[in-house]
Amino acid sequence: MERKLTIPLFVASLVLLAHCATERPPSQIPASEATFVFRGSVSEAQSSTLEQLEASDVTYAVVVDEVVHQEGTFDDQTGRTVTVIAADRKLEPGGSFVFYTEPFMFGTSVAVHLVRASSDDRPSAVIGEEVKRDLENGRLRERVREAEFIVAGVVTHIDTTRERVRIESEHVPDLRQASLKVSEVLKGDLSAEEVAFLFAASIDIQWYQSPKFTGGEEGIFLLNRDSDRLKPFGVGGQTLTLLHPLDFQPPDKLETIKGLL
Amino acid sequence: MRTPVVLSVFLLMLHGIASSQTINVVNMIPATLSNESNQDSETDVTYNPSNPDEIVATAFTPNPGGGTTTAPVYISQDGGATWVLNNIVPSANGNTGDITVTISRNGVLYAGILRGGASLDMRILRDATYTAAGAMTQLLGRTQEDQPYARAYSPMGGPQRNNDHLYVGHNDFNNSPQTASFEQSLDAETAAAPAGLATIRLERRTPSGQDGPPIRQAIHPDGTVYAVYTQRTASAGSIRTGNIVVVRDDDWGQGATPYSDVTDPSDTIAGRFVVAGVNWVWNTGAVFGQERLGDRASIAVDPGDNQTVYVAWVDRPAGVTGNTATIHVRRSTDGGNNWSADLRTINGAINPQLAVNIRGDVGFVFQQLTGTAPNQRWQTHFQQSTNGGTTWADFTLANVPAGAPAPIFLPYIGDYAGLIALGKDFYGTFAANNTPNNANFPNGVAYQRNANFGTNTLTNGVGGAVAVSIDPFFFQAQNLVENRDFYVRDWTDSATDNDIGLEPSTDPVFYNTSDVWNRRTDAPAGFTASDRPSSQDPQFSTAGSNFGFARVHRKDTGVAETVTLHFLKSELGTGSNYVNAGASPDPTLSFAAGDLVQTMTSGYEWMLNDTSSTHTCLAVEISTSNDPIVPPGLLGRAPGWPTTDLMVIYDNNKAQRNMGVYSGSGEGGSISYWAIAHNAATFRRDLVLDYAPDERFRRLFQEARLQAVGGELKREQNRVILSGMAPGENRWISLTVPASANQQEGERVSVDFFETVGRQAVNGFTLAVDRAPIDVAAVGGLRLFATNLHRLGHLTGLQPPIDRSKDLLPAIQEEKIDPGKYVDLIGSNFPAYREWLAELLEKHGSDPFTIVNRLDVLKSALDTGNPNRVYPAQSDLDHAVDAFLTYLDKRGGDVADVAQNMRWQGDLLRTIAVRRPIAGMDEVANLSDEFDVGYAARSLTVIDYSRYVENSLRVLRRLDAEMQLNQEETLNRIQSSLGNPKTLQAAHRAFLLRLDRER
Repeated sequence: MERKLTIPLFVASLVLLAHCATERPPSQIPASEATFVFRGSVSEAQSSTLEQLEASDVTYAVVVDEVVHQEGTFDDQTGRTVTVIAADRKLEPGGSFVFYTEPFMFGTSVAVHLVRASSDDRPSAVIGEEVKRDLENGRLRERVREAEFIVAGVVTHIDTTRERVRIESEHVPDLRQASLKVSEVLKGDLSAEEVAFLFAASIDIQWYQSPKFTGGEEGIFLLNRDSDRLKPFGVGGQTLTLLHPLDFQPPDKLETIKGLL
Repeated sequence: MRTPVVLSVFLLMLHGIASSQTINVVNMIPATLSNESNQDSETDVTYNPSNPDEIVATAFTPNPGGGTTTAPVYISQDGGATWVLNNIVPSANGNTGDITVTISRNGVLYAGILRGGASLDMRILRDATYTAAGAMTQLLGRTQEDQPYARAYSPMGGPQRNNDHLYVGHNDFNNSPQTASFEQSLDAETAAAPAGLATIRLERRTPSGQDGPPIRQAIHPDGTVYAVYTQRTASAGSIRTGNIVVVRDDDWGQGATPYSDVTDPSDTIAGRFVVAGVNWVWNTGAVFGQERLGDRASIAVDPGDNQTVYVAWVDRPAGVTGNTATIHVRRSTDGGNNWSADLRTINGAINPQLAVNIRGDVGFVFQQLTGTAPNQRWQTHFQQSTNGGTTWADFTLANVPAGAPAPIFLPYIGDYAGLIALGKDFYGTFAANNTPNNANFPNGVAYQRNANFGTNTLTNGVGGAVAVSIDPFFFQAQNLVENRDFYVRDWTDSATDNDIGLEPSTDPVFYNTSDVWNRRTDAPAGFTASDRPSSQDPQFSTAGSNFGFARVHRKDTGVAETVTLHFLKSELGTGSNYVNAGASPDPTLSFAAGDLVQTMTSGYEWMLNDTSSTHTCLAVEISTSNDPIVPPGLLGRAPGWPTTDLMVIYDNNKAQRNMGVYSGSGEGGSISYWAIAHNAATFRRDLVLDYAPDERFRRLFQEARLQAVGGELKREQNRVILSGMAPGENRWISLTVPASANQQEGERVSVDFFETVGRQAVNGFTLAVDRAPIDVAAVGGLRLFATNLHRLGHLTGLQPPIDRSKDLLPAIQEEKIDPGKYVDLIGSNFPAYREWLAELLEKHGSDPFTIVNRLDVLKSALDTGNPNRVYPAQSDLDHAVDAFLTYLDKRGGDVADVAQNMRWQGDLLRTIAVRRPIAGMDEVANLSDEFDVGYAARSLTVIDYSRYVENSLRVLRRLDAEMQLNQEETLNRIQSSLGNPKTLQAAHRAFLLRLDRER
């Protein structure tokens, strides 16, 4: 005999389809990241020079009349039209400004975030030097602020004994110890005439930009007791390290760094 | 999931080499970056499953604008032809230290990265608007991690339908030595960080120090998740010794002991050794074509069969010395329990990547160092096998100098490359020397950056020379060009929102608004405002023929072709096997070169059997010489069985309509609508049906109820379970709704049912109620009544019901009927109808569909003379009678199930042979496979079934004696039924059922 059972259909709520929430925090670009500065003329509002970037109320086509400062690897944009996203200000077509921007999209054209735009009659070379200096100093200032010790000196010896690696990853830093003869202490309480620090000899993607030393290098050394980054590699908290690409500066940066202290 | 291994292999062997394949290689550096000479190594790639033209790829490319707070991803919105870089990845130095990407079906991009400039600092990121400006959102950050490898999947069925499942393999040094781990979330799409991400340890043993960096995953749509990793057991100098380990979880990686569904027989611990005790080189110097050497692994699962999985790894075979690597590719067809010998052995090669496409073809990318220094070359190959790895077609994507440029950092070309399957095609990425020399790219190449192939030089935007460097390349291995890719839509929401031939298609309800439909006259009728066809239920034979229609699209214009259409039908419900709709030749549709779409103007004529219900499912398979269906065909099968092949969703050449649309009208009482649930498997199982009423249905029919006839029904949230169904068993599900709900006239409400296997919806059906005025609804009621009379007469051999059915033909040909006349017609036939049904019930001995009670309800309604009372009662009765007649009909056998019987027989014999081998069992098992494959390929018909069963009988009789089954009477019934496929199927099934109980 077949059995027949009956149940209520609606025993629970339906599974609703959740879909595609937008999560876009407002852009917070420090002025020091305005790596592309140019004189330009707004040619069209609500326009985009990239197929992949939809035109909107905040996109403008801007002709690059003159490049004031450019970093990175993209092509010279002089005479070309780029897309400027200006979320915080309206730009009138025909307006000419010095555009301080951060490029973010690269295709057949370039799209940039506007950091600020100003009218500036100074020669472009002057503005360019200022931008370059500000960018460099801005980045260096951050390193100076973070450094526990800053000293001037010369590397006297490299201990090529490789570190005892506790883990095995392609990204091990291949740490070496450098001995540094200190000629001047710029920051931190350091009385020894000679100190040792670890640097990364690895050319792995994560370390190839770290300064490398072979002995005899003279300059400014920004040292840290770094660090979480080296914990996996068995480095204790009291060991001095020099890992960031900006943490070794040539001697002619001495006054600049003093100015940043 | 149990799978007939031999059958799977056989099917693969039948599947021929791709008829034509197009390889497109694209240098991904865009025009405005012509000046760059970075080392853009180590690529990964993903695509948007809902918009495959949208592809995201990655490489170690620094922020091209010189910024340090973000790093770029590569984005194409035209299928890989052109690319832009979009700085959306948070960074500490403008680059990443590792990066892999994946996009879910919900269009959300996920990335697993090591933060640039921050060593082993893993971040897991999310972005729903990745083509726009702005940084990705961080979901998780943790140090002491290596090589995050992200892959996502959004299930199309089960309780987590449409949720973004995110799996990130990572080597977690916070848990040394058991470092092989997943970071996993089963609902990562929108929740705030960490969005459900939690750590799962894959490693259950104690490796020597740690596991290796690559932890790779393969996700099957049914919830089977595999991972492979390299387990270290010893270390000496630059040589690492260890095991290649595969773990598996059959339920999305959830549960108390995830990833423990395959163990190694050596220690019964989770994680099967594909190979144990192999050596490989670990050397972080630029020792191999300027590249470093280390652990490499890849894994891919067949989307049509969760048990078929491929693994690749590198080692240094015994007897080989020096800094080198050999790739091995192996396959398991039983869920990772047993592994083949090498399908591929590639000496001097790294970066193996595997993927399996919708056809079950295996794609394989690797990078091989050839020649001798200083003239060594890096060759990047794509290979494809259409026969499970037996033979491989080889395409050299790049053959470039290995000695230049000098490395800026390591990895030189990458610790991995990228490969994904997309429908029938494969997409991949790799890094290589970018010298613009056609000889370096044997299958051609397209550059976006300025390149002079005459002088083999690169220039920047102002004509200045640019040094050769390492660039990322995208490639597409297209097995079917778009203008030859024909498809039938699985779903249509509107003229602009519909199935565009994606494989898999993106709506799990593929049986509701598809472009295959039935009409009762030979005209396709128009399409609705939503661009959907207007389907009609079929009519019984005396009422006339039915006509199957289909609308066929293709992805692009360009060539004239003729498309053949093959129509099939099955019962309304889930799991019922398909039979050919008719015996007439298959119709064709001619496409001129400029045609994108063709609709049949004349239908495929077919008729219902005299005992068949009009509640049917219609399917179509389209094919051309260049674009055949992906085998197996639907004939003798149901989507999802015997393997986890979704068939219709995966193959854009197949479409089905499995939807009962009924008229709701009148007042008082309720109407039950019925559908069949058939166990299409070859083993006893619980058949799981998830259901999803639409919003209006839920509001209108608060008191709607589900019923089952034929066995136990269990209830879970939004789910019913038909317990312990035997192979080939049918049960009936009914949906009961009140007739007097406040449904608007013309309004349609519906409930989608999903047959769910594991966590995957493999099949389903829809029951819909259209509110109609009584004079229209009454015609439908009469049609069902007339059909039942017709079927009842043919089932019982009584002529009077057939005659009365004929008498009703004029009335049911009209669109409307006077409600009073309707009541008269029902009333005048009622006494005889009641008598015939009573006799039938008495003969059957039970009333599983409570027809007696329903007859009483109708009698009371008829006594009122009120058509609004009569219609619900008559409709309710006749839906139940329709189900009862089908129930009786199928008890006498079902030719739709002949192939299932043979599959079942093959499986049973193989299982029994392990413990109780009897001479001839293997031969009969193979014979069973032969029939199944031949039947699906339409080279064998139901007529051949008798011959195959007859050839099996000798062994079946031996089994009966050996196992003391006492089934001589059944076997004699089989013998006497040879020549009558329907009764033979019933007798054959009865024996197999008995055999199944004893195995």
